[in-house]
Formats: sequence, C-alpha cells, structure tokens
Amino acid sequence: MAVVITALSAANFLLFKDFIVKIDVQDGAKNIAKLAESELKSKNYSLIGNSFEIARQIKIEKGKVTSKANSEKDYAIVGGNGAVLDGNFKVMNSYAGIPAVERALKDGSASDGMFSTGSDLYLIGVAPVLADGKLFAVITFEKFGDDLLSVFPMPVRAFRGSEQIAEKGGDTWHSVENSYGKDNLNADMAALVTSGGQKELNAWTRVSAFAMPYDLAGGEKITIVTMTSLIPGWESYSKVRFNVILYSVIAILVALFFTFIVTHEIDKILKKLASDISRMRVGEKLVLKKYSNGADIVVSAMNKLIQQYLELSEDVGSITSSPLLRAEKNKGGDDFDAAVPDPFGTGSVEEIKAEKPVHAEMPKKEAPKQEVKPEPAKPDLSHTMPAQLEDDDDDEDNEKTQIAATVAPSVQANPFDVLWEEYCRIKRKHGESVSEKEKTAFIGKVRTNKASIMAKYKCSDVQFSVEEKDGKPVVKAKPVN
Amino acid sequence: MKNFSKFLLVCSLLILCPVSVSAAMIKLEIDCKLGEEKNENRLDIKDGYWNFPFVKVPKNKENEHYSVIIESYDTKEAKNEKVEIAGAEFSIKNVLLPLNGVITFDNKENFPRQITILAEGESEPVTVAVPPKSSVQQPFIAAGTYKIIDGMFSWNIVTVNVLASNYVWTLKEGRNRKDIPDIAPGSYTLKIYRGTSRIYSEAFTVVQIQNVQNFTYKIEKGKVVNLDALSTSMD
Repeated sequence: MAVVITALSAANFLLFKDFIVKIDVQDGAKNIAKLAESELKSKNYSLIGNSFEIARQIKIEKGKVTSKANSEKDYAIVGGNGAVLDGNFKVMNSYAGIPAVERALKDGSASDGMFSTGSDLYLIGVAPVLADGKLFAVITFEKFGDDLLSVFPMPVRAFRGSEQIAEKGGDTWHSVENSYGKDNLNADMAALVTSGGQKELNAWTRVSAFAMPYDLAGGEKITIVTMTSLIPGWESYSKVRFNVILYSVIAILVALFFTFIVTHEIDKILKKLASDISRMRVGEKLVLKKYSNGADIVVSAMNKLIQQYLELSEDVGSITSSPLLRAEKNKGGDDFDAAVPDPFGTGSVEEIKAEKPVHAEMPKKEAPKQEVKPEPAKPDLSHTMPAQLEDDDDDEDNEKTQIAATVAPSVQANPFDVLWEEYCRIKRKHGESVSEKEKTAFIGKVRTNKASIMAKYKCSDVQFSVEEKDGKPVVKAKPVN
Repeated sequence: MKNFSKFLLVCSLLILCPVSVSAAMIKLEIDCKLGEEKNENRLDIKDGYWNFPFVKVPKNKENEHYSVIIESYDTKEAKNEKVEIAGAEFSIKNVLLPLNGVITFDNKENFPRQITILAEGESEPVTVAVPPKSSVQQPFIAAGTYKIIDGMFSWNIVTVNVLASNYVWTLKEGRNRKDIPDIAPGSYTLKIYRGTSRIYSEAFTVVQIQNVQNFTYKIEKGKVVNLDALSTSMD
C-alpha cells in the first residue's frame, strides 16, 4: 500500500511538472517579456504625446518662447542648435546630439529615445515645432528608475550595460536568490544581459530579457529582465519541492496509519465472526445486524447457506427421514395405509399474531451437540426459534452476539421425529401402544397440516408441539411469520 | 706673415658665408567656389526608436571646407582649433590639424565631461577631464589620425587628422590670396584638402636666389584647376 501511494505521489508530481512545462510551450515567459516591452513602448509614446500637447500650448516668436505651457511632466523647449530655451526641467544646457532631438531638429520627426548623464537615465519623447520657418523641439522627460518599473506587472530588473540600475519585485527576486543561489542568478543575469533570450531557473520560474533600442555606434545598452513564474507565488522551487516531499511523506504515513486501523478492525471482526461460528450449533443462524465491514456479507451468505441446508434437509427427510426409517420402510412395505390417529385432535392451530419468534433459552456450549434426546429435559420444538445465546464466561459477548437457534433438522434431530417421540411418550404414559408403522403416517399428517396452515395463514413457518389433553396427546400448531 | 694670416681669414669668411641669405617668396592665389555637401555634423544614428516625420524640412547641407597644406614648410604660427561640448554633441566632427596644433575643448555644461583620445593604431587611450563651464587645451605633437570620444555619449566622436606639416590655410568663398615670404629654398609639396580628404597634390622647388613664385588655382565643384600650368586635380 505504501509503495502504491509513493508511486502515485511521484507520478502525480511528475505529471504536474510535465503539465507546467507544457504550459511554457505556449511561450508564456516570452510573451511576458513582450508585454513588458510593450508597456515600456507605451510609456515612451505617452511622452511623445505629452510633447505634442505642450507644443500645442506654447507660442514661439523671434526665437523666444512667449507663451508658457502647463504640464505635469518634466519638459524642455530647445532651439535649432539644441540649446534650451524654456521648460520646467533642465538636465543639460543643450540637448544637441541626443538622437531623438536631432531627428526633431534636423528631420522634423517626432520620436522617442533615452539618454543618461552620469547615473541618471531618462526616457524622452520629442516633438518638433515649426515657428518662424525654423525648427524647435519639445522634450518630455521621465526618469528611469524604480517608479518607472512599477508599470510592469511582474518582477523586473533593469540593467545599464552590466550594471543593475532599477528593480521591481525585490522580495520575489530575493526569494529566487535564496532558492536558486545568488551567484547562479547573477551569472544567468549577466548572460541574459549579454545575449538576451530567456533562461529557465527551475521548472516553474524563467527569466527573459529584451534590450531597449540604443545607438549602434557603441552606446550603452539598457536591458530589461523580466521574471515569470508559471505558478504565481511558487518562485521558491526548492522550498516547494521540499514541501511536496514532506507532504507526500506525511500523506503516506497517514495512509499507512489508516490502513493499519482498517486492517486491524477487519481482522478483529473476522476473528469475532470465526469465534461465533465456532460456537454455533447445527441449525443456528447468526444475527446479521451485529456484523459490519464486510463480515455482514459473510454472515448473510452463511445464513442463506444454512437456510438452504435446512430446506434441503426437510425435503430429504420427507422422503427418507433416516436410515432407520428407510430400513423400516423397506422391511414393512406400504405403511401409508396404516391407521394413524389424528395428531391435531380438535383443531389446535394457535391464533396468528404478528409476533417475533419466541426467544428460547438455548443450551450451553457444553450441551450435547447434534443429537436430540427425547428423554432429558423437554426440548422446545420451535422450528426456527431465535434464542439468546448464553455464555456464562462472557456476558458482554452475549450482548453483542446473538445466534438464531433452531432445532437441527438432521436425521438425529429431525423435529418431526422429536414430535413423534413426544407423541409416543404420552401415549405410552397412558398405557397405549404405538407401533412404528404409525410414525410415517403421523409425520406425513404433520407435514400436510404444516403446508395447509402456511398456505392458510400466509406464514413462513409453523411451530408444532405435543401436549397432553384428557390423557391423550394433542399436536398444537403455531404459525410463525 | 701677419698680413698673410689676415688674408687667409678674409678668404675663409668669404667662402663660408653665402652670397645671399634671403629666402624666396611664393604667392598663392586660389579662386574658391564653395559648394554644398552633406553636413558632416549631422548625426545619423539608427537606434531603432520609433519616429515619424511631422514637419517637412529640406535636407540639411553645409558649405564645403577646403584647406591648403604645404608640406615641409615649417611655420612658427601655431594653429588652434576650438571644440565646444554642448549636450551630446561636439561642435566639430572633423578637424584637420597641423602638426603641434592644439585643440581647445570647451565644456558648455554644468557638469564635468570626460573625453577619451585614442590614436589610430594605439591601444592606450588618453583621458582628459573637462570641468564644468571650463576649457582644456590638448596639443597634438604626432602626425596621425585620432578619435576623440565623449565619455558620456559614446556616439559623440571627433576625428582629428594631424598633418605632417604645421602649415594649414583654410580657404573661404571667393578669391583667397596668401603670401609666404620666408620660405627657404628646397622641395615642397602643396596639397589641397576638401574636409579631411586630399583632392590635389603638387610638388615644387624653391631656388636659392631671391625670387617670387606664383601659384594660381581655381576650385569649383570639388575640382582643382592649376591656372599656371593648366593642370587639374585628379578628383
């Protein structure tokens, strides 16, 4: 069982991992990087839009800005030589040579771009302005830093050349460093900054890089590295792996524990059943409701088997009750014509009541088995009579276990034979002689009456007993449901 | 005996001293008609950023630059060039500098700039720091080609061509006249450059006697015509 559970856990783990890997077939990490690139581009476009908005507001006359602009963003207005004329933000006295500014001043094109002075890096959007036949330019600035990276929905690191300049999602990055190893992560980052592409850190966590456009003459490259975790919050692969193994072990132990409990319980029930069976006497049945966990099925099957056995015995008994009877039959020829007194006397069927079988006191375990002796204590002739099994040794066990007692219908304990013996005893008691020839007729009569009573009262069985009345034996019948 | 010694001394002085010590004079006259050429200062960076034409402007061109070089002529005049650093741009992109010429780097910004000078074929660059709103002079004492790179904007580069001669005459539009009165007898080469490209070369000899040699040229549409000899440049 433990091996099966372990194998299933391992298979589940591998399948899940495979599933996650197959998700990446859809280029999840790559698409995340593209999303980040689009977000950044969108940011740049918004800067160009802001420059156009400012250009719409300002007025330039004779090379001077005569009408100011309102802008929440940082901006500057530059002349044809790149020198700053106006604005609310000044990084340099001139922006000549900045590619986006050059495109505006020399080509009349609006464009985006970036530049850096020292440690500061700026994204810019530039729009050209034509005034008095000369070209001017409006520049809108956005400082590249942690604030700018907040537009990204995923953990991001930005590199200028090989130097990291901004970061978003520091906690996640640190958890990956702890899980994957800081040196390993730094080495992978360096490789990504150099050559781009993507790198699988573990089965569920990947990093992808893209470079912002930069001048091909040798300007510094700005690289954005995005991290994608296919399962959010599962960046710590090692921790997750440890937890999965831990939980699997716990699950196996729990399964083992319950397996032990269940098997122990079943073992206990079966032992009890075996004990009850060993104490059963012929014709007794087990009480179904006292068993569970599969033992009830066994008990049910056993009871059915016993019932079939009893019925079979009855059928056999009607033809050849016993070897002795068979011998008599062979010797005496046709006995059915012999005169047989009516054993039922004056209609002795008791009033039918929907009552349960009468509980009878059963003999103790030590009581003689299988044989029915007519002389000892008067036996109860109930055909199927549940009885509380007495057990002096274990009262508690008696409460739990009930055995339906029935007179064994075997050759030795045939109820009809018993009935006949009782009938003979009463007869002999009053000096009447009884021949063995009458027995067959007697038993046949009883059988016939039994069938007719069962049909008349629609009962499942009939209990017969012999009583003495006015010095004569009378057979009484009692329908049993 | 004493008079004989005086005679020998006088004779020796007469032999050792030249008869005439004055140098020759050359007169240069160049009729220059400057055309337009692509602005070499025009930044053409393909940086991959998105852009779209918004204002239609004529193609940016500037007048041609011509310079006359006389190799082997050693002049005492030192020539300086001034390069302003404003924003991400050097004011000049190409400099034709005579030997021992000096370039003055003028920082127009409020923060320090650093420039790197790398001689062609050399692996060890020279770094020059230019303080905010200040100038720094840098002499070039060896002929060759130099790259001057802006430390902040690496695409901002000046190419300096330091000549073997220390005489450079920059031509202007129209008639240009120049007299060089103190040229010593010997062999010289006159070269004419358009920008930093040589377009004409002519060797000449200055004789030891005092005379005047005239050189008359005409430059038009990038071609040089020697009006004295009716020879034209190969360009």
